[in-house]
Amino acid sequence: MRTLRSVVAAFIALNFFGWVTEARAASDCPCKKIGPNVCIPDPDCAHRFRWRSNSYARPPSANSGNNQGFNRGNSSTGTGTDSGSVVVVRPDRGSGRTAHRAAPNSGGGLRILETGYSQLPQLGKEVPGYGLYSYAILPSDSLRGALFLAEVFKEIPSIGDIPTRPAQVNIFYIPVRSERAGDFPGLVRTLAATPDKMGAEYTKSFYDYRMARALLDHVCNPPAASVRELCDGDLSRGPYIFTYASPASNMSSVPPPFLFVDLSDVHERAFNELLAAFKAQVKREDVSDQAKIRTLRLTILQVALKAADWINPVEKALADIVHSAAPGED
Amino acid sequence: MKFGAALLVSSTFVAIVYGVLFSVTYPRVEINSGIAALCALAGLLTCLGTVGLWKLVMGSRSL
Repeated sequence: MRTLRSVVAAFIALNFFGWVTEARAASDCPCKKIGPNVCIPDPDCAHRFRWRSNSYARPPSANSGNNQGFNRGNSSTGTGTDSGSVVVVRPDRGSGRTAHRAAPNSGGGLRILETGYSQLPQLGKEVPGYGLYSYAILPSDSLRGALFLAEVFKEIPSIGDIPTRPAQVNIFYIPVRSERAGDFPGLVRTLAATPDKMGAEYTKSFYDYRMARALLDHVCNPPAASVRELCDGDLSRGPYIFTYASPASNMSSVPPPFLFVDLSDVHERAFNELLAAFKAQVKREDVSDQAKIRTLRLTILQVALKAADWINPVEKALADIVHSAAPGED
Repeated sequence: MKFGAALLVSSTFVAIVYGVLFSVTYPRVEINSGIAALCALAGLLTCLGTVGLWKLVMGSRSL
């Protein structure tokens, strides 16, 4: 009995340790698994992170790139890999080691105040003048895609409902099949009160998956080091959010820095929290620093939702056992 | 009976606290039966763990 108790205690402690270290690692560095449920932050990354956090005290470099709104930073390492599902690509020019994260910031140094969604009927048809350009990328028609778009319609207002001047707005483009673009106002009129149905209908009849694949191709042609692993995969899961400082749908290759959020491993019920974090993230001066997305709070939410999913069948099985043990009592 | 009832009451209380904390921390996430069951389980484990620790500490003191 004592042995059993020790085993159970050790199991719980190991799980707790794994959970805490994984959450901690997810907030800073990639996790290196050293055993079941046990991981430690990647020592190389931890070293880099320490070095980098020390160097943050330096004043940021001026915006010297050709692309308006890009802070070129001060790095010669080119890219950096971060943990979790968020990939941030850092600049490839500069003189220091990994001194600053470059980030798309709003044009002319203006802070982003709002995010609004709009349809993108064709590649290269973005409206110029917005502070940031984000794209909702769904690789295929799926339930996850429908749930994601439902949350987008719930959490993000239409660009027409935003009074803010465009230079301070992050426009969140959702690809739409050009022949259905005219039908969207009708969809909003009929299904605006039920975003879930609207998301399902949009993924089924409106979303342009061909354009989404083209956007992914632009990001992966050639892939920056930090998205290489993702680009080498089949890219069939998603959804993904891609944010850039200028219209990017018509670029054959998208140079860093950009913010690429991979929601493939994110629980569907956490989409709303992730979108809220994304909206907060784009308001930051350094859009790509992930401070609002890669948080312990969201990591714990992932763990809790997955644990809740595991518990549900157990709960049902227990209910079945109780019902079968005491038939006719209900 | 006494231990079982006390454990049940305290686990329920802790589970409610966990549920409230969850809803405050994640206001956009709807609490479904899975989350409620998770809170109940976490409450029970917390109470059992507390009882275990209490016995461990008190046992080592009496030695």
